[in-house]
Amino acid sequence: MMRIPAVLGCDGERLVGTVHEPARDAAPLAVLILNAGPAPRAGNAGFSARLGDALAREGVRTHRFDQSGTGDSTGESWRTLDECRAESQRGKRALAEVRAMVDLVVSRPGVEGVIVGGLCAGATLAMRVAAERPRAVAGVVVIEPDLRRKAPDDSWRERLRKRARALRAPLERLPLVGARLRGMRAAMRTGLDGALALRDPIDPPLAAIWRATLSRRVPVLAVTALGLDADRDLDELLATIADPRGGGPTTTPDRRRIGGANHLFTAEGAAEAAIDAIRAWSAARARGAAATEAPAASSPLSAPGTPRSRADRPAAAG
Amino acid sequence: MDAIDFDGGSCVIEPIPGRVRERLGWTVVRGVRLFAASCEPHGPPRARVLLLPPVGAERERAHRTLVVVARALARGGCATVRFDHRGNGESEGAFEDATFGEWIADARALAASAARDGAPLVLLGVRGGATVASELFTDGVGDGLLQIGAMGARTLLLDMARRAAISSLVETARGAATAPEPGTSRSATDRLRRGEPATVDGHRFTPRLWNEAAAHPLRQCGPLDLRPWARIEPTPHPRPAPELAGHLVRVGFRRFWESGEPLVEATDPLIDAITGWFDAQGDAWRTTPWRSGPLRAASGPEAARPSPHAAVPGPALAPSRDAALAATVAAREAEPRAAAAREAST
Repeated sequence: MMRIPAVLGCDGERLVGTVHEPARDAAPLAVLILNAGPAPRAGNAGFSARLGDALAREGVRTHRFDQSGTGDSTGESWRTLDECRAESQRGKRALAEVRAMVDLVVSRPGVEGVIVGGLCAGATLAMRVAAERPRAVAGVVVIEPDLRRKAPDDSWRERLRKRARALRAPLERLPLVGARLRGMRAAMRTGLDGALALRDPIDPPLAAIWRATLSRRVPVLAVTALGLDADRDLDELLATIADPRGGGPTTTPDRRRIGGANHLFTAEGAAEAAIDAIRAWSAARARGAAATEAPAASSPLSAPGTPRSRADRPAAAG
Repeated sequence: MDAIDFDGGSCVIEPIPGRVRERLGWTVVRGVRLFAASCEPHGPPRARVLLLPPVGAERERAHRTLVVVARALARGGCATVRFDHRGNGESEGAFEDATFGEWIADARALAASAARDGAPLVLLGVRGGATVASELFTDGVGDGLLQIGAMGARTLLLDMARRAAISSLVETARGAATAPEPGTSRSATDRLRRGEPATVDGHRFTPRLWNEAAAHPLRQCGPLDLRPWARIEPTPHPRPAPELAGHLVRVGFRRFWESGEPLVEATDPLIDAITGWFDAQGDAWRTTPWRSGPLRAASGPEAARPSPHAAVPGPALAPSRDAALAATVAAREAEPRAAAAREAST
C-alpha cells in the first residue's frame, strides 16, 4: 500500500489529491472520500487518511481530493462554515468538482465504478453526485450527514435565535431574590433555550435526492453518532421519505450507529469503530460480495434491534 | 532543482497567481514517507523558508492558513518548503508512535536538504512546529527564526488537552456530543499527569510522548547569538516576557490553530508581518560572517559548501560555536571602525 499524489484541473483550479494504491490487484470498484466541510482531505484527526489506508490494505484503491479553497488545492479559502454548508447543499461549483473527481476515478483502467463517501457536508455532496452520475456511482457512504437546510439570516428562526442569544446572557446576571422571581427566571430561561435550540427543517431537495437514490437501489451506508443530531435527523428524513403517499423507496440504507461518539468522531475509540464499519462495508461491495453483508441493526424503516456489531456498541467515553 | 527528493512521484501545481510553481509529494525522511510541498518563486529566491506546522488537531486547523502563507511568501520571492510531521496530516506513520524527539530529527534532516543553494534558511514554526524550530535554531540550524504561538512541548500538550476538554464540554452542552458515563470521565490533563494515555481531539497522547516532551522546553537564543529571530503573537499577547524585548511582533490576527473549524480569516496581517520581517533583514544576510561558515557548517554536510553571498569564506568545519559567535561579534564591532577609516581616507 502506498500514498501517491494526484492533481486534477477543474474550472481553472487545481485540486490536489492523495491516492491510496493497494499493493496487489485493485478491486473493480474504487472509493472516493470527500472533504468534511472545510477540513483538509486527511480529515479530522486523520480520519479519511486512516480510512484510505485501511481500504487500500483490503485491495480497494481509494482517492481523496481537496476541493477548491480547501487543503492544498488552489482557490479562495472558506471564511465561514455557513458559506461552506450552503455550497455543499446548493452550490454548482462544489458539485462540478466532485463530478470531475468521479469522472477521473472511473476513467482509470480496470475501474468499473466508485463508492463515494463523506462526512457532514461531504455526505451531502456524496448524495448529490450519486444522483448526477448514476452509472458511475455504485455506492454511497454518508457519515454524520448534514440534512438540515441552513436558514437564511433574515428568516424568523434566525431572528428569534439572535434575540434569544441577546437576552440569555443578561438574564443570568440578574440578582434575583425570592422564589417567585427565581421561578420566573427559570421559565424565561427555558423559553429562550427553546428558541436557541430551534432546528432548521430537513432540506426538501436533499430528501428528494435520498428518495431517488434509494429507489434506484443504490447501496447506501449511513454512519452516525448514536443519539446525536445527525442520527435523529436521519431517522426523521427516512420516516418522511418512507411515506407511501410520496412514492417512498423500496430499499433502506444500512445503518451503523456509533455509541459514545461526537460529530467528528474524535472521541476515544469512535474513529476506529467508524473506520472498521466503513472498511468492511465498502470492501465487501468493491469486491462484489454485497450479499454477505449483515442487515442494518437499527434502521427506522426496519424493526429496531439490539446492537449487534462492534460499531453499534458504545465506544469508551473520552 | 527542487529542495525535496520526492519518492513515488510528485505533482506540479501551476499556475498559482504570482508565477509561483508548487511541487508536492512524499519524501523519505529517516525511513518514513513525509508529505512535503516546495513552492518556488519566479527567479532566484531571496531566502528559503522551512515551514514547521503544528502537531495534532492544530495541524488540520492551521493547514490552510499555512498553505496560503507559503504561497504568499513565494510570491514575495522566498522559496518555501512545508511538510507534515510524521503521524500527522498526509504523512505516514502513526501519531501514537511519534515524539518531539522524532519530529525534531525529521525537521533537522529536512532543513539540511532545504538549505541547498546558499540562500539564507529561515525556520518558520507554528505552535508545536515552533517548539521544534526553537530547538533546531539554538543548535545552530538556520539563519533566521520566526515563531508563532510558541511554547514548550509539555506546556503545549497540556494547553491542547485543556482546550479539547473545553470544546468537549461545549459540544456536550449543545447536544453535539454524548455526555460521558458517570464515573468514567477524567480529564486528559489528569490522565497525562498520571502517566496514562489520553485522547485529545482524536489524537492519542501516549505516556511516551508526554514523558519525552519534558526534554523539549522552548529554547531561547543566547545574547551572543546575532542571528535574527522574532516571535509573532496575536494581539493582545497575555504575558510578554522580558527576554522577548525587541523580538516580539504583535499582530492582529486570529489564533488560527485554535478554531474548531479550519477556516481562513484575514491572513493579510500575518503575511504582512512575516514579509515585513524579511524586508527588515535587508542585506544583512548577505554580509554577515555567520552566513557562510561556522554555524551553518555545524548543521550538516551541505553547510560546508561556500555561500555565494558570503563576505568571508567559511571553514569546512566549525571550530566551536562560541568561537564562531565571538568572531561574529568581533567582525560586527570592526565594521564601524572600518567605515570610519574609509570615510577618513576619502
